[in-house]
Formats: sequence, structure tokens, C-alpha cells
Amino acid sequence: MQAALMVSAERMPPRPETMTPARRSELIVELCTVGAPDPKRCAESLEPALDGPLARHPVEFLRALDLVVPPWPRPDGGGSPATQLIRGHANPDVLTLHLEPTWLMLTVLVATERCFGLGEPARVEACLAAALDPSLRSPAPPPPDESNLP
Amino acid sequence: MTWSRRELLRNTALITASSMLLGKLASARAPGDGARRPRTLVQIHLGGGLDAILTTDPKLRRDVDSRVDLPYDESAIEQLGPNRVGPLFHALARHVPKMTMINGVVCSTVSHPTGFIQTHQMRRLFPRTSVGLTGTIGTILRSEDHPVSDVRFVARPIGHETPMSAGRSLVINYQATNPPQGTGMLHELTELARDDARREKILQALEAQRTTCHERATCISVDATARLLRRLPRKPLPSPPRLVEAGASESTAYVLGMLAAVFRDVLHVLEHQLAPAVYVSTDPMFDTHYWSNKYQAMSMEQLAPVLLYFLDELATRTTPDGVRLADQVGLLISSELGRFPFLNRYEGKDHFPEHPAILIGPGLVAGQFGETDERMAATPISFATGRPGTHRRAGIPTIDDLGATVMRWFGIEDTVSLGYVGRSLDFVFG
Repeated sequence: MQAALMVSAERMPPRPETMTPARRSELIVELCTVGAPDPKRCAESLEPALDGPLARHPVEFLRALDLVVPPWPRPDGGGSPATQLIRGHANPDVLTLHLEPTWLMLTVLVATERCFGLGEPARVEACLAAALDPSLRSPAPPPPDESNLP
Repeated sequence: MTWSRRELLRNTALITASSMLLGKLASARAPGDGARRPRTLVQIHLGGGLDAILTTDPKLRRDVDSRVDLPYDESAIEQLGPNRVGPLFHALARHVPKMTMINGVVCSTVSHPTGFIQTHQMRRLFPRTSVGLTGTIGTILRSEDHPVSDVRFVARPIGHETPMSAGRSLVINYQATNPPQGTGMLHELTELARDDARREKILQALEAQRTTCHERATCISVDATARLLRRLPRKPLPSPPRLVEAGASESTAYVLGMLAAVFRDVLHVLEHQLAPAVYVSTDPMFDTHYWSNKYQAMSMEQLAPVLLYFLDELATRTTPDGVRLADQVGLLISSELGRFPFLNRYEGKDHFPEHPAILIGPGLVAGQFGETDERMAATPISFATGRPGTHRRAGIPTIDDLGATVMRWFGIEDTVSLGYVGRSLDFVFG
């Protein structure tokens, strides 16, 4: 189990040896199968790929959100309370998992603020659907693996 | 009475068999079995490093090296129930008797960022994207009723404390998003949940996403958000308590106001069972490289009223099933590192790779465990008693052991499969 944890923590194999993420995941699952009383729980706890993909840079996400559900202009030129909340949460130095609950809950607050003022029920629904669309939070498709190209 | 050879053999065999059976039963018994167990974890991380000699590990001048800074005499040490505490814990006097203190827990780092990550994990070796101690325990304890696995209140993003490894967690970066007035994310979500028309519209929009989501993480997030909106109470979040005393400095008033709002939110999470685990980290308020005694005292002045409020409220509030929070919350308090026992040239204390830890909650034995020597360095203890020990199974407790102990406290036996490979400090369970 110590070995599985070392592999999962990227302490094994020792540098400069490298290991592809896929092989790392495979090895963790194998070590869990051999050493853990509960291999499934072990793999879920230690296998990093199960934690979800990294998504967009927070600022990129906020720009995309502003495009599909534009903020209401404010006399002071600042952000509304929900906009301030989501901007305060975004750490520009760190790539963020936009597929996780905190971001979605903050997006719900922004959508509430920006959509319900539209009045007409159909427009409100369309606005909510656009703001909460997972594609806004999904990562761009990975670039093709050029190493395999002829 | 004399026994024949046959009787002697028979009785010896019986005694041996019964003692073996008792031994087997004892080893099969999980720590805390038959005792009460907590069902919600609250981990409070006091950033910077609580000074052990001023709090959980008071010393007398004759017992310490002449270089150890000891800014009080024997009269400042107070016996509160089973615990002897230093002057900074006098402010918490009414809750000290129920504390289980472990002194000299090795964290093996003198770096704040590493220590912050390790404390969140409560282990020194962990998967790159792990959700930490509260995330792991929360995921296991989470029932259908809990919207999220854990709620994390963080002062600033450091390493894994960022939303990056959130998993099923709700992460509230309170310095950026929750002003001391008590508005902020949880307040806004509660207001939305109280507005029936808007809540239903949002739930419809989420349901539409739920039926079409194909990415596991998206489905989890949609589900968690919908559950939270359904679960939040239909009454407004109360205002944070006013804990600032007249004449308090501006900085004390600000920190107290901020922490009061945070712990108001923590109680809201616990009372309405929004998550089975909560993590709170403060700013590195105990990072006292200059005039350590003065600033440790000032930081405790800012913290103690909030901790008292929180602990008092745990004793009075209940969950919807009528159980007092104090009877179901397991509390873990520690820093990411300790303070070096000798003063530096600025009368401050630098970093020390050991620190105390405090547990409060059902199923524990109150008292002080762990041992430190004349230079405040941890010495080996028996893992059976928590007292000084030298036999081969004695050792110095580490944060890995603390992580495994907390898991066992919550009834999780197979900590190894979860990547918590430390030894459980079973002496805390009595």
C-alpha cells in the first residue's frame, strides 16, 4: 500500500524516471488489487484520474460567462454581488476545475442575478440554460497527439 | 487445594484458551466500539503555529533547557479537569476539561505551504489530487441527504487548498467572498433557496442539464447544486454574532468579525446537515517571527471569542433529528507547524516541525498525551497509553498517525485502502 501511495503521490518512480499518467493509473490499480483490503476504494482514493479533468483558466471561464449572459450595466461600473463572489473565488494563478460544485453554485448565483431581470419566461429560461450549460465549464478538447502523426 | 496432573493440564488448557479468546476479541474490537462516535467532522486549522508552551504543553523553569523561552511562572499554569494548560488557554477555560490534547506531533516540515497542504490532508504523503481528510471522510460518511461531501472555508488559496482539488466539496474562499457583515456565498444561496419561484426555475434548468450530462464530474456538480438548493432552510441566515468588545483594535475587530461570520456559516452547515465534514483554515495568524509572546496572545484574543461561541453553540443547537451538535461533531484543531522553542533575535519564534493537536467530541478520553523533553522536542510514547514509553512499539506520533486516528474515530477501519497508512493512536479512545 505504501508503494501505491508513493506512485500516486508521484514520488515513484524516482526522478529522472518518468511514467505516463495512464501507466501510473494502471499501476496504482494493480498495487491496490494486490495490497488493499478494499481494492476499489483504494483505487478511487489514490487514482488521480478519477478526480476529474482540469478545465479552463478562471478568467477565460468568466469571459465566456459574460458573453452568454451579459452583466447588467451598473451606475458605479462595478460588479454585482454575485459577479463579485465569482470573481473573488477565481484565483488567476491556478487552473480550476470548473466542473466542480463550487463553480456551478456560483454560476447559479450569477445566472439568478442576470437572467430573472429579463422578464419574459422564455427568455429567462433560455438565459438560465445558457449560463448553466456544461460546455461553458468543459475543457477544450485535447490537441491531437502529434507524436503519432506520420 | 491440590490438582492432579490431569486437572492441572486441563485447567491450564482452559485458562490458555480463554485468554486467547479474550485476546482475539480485544483485537477484533475497533477503537471506540461500544462508545459513542461522531458523525460529522470539523477540522480547524489555526494557521501559523500555535505555541505549545503557552497552551497545551506548559512547563516549569526547572524542567526546561535554559534557552527555552518560558515567559510565565508556575502560577500561570492552570489545572482544568484533566488538563494542565498554559496562560493562553485560560480564555477557553470552560471547554478545556473536555479536550484531548496530543503534544509533540511530528509534521516534518518547517514550510507553511507544505504544512498547509499536509494539514488539509493530515498526512505527509498523499495523492496529487486528493480531496484531503475532510473530503475523504466526507465522501465516506455522505448520505443521500448531504448535498456535498465537505465544505471548506479557506482564508486564501495555498496549494491544494485552492478549489483545484475540490471533488464533491463546496469551497468558500471567505476572505475574498464573505465580508464580516455575514453576506457572501452561503447567504446568497440561502436567499435563492427561500425564493420559491426562482428556486424552482433554477432547479428546472439544472434538471435539464442533469438529464443530458455525460461527464461524471458535471453530473456530480449538477446533482450537488440541486440538492443544496432543496436542502437549505427556508429561513434567512441569522446575522453573525457581535463578539468584538469595546476598545478592541481595528485589526482585532476585523479578524473577529470575519471569523464570527465564518463560524456562523459552519454552524449553519452542521445544523442543516449540508455536509458530513467541514474544514476551516485561518490566515497564518499564529506565525510569530517577531515578538512572539505578544502576537501569540493577540492572535488568541482574536480567536478565543469565536471558538467559545462555536463550542457553546454546539452544546445548544441540534440537527432536525433532535441530536445535539456537541454529541455528533468530532472536532480536530491543529496548526501546520509549531513554533521553535528558543527566541530569535527579534524576540520571535521561528518554525518547528512538531505541533500539538486537540480533539473534542464523543467517544474520546479527555486528557494530555504525548511527551516533550527539556527542549520541547517530542520523545517516544507508548502507542497503547500515549504516555512515555521505550519498548519496541513505542514511537513519536506523526500527522500520519493523527489522520489514521481521526478516521478510526469515525469508524473507518480500513484506513490503509484510503491512503492513510499511519498508526492509530488508540489511547485517545480510552
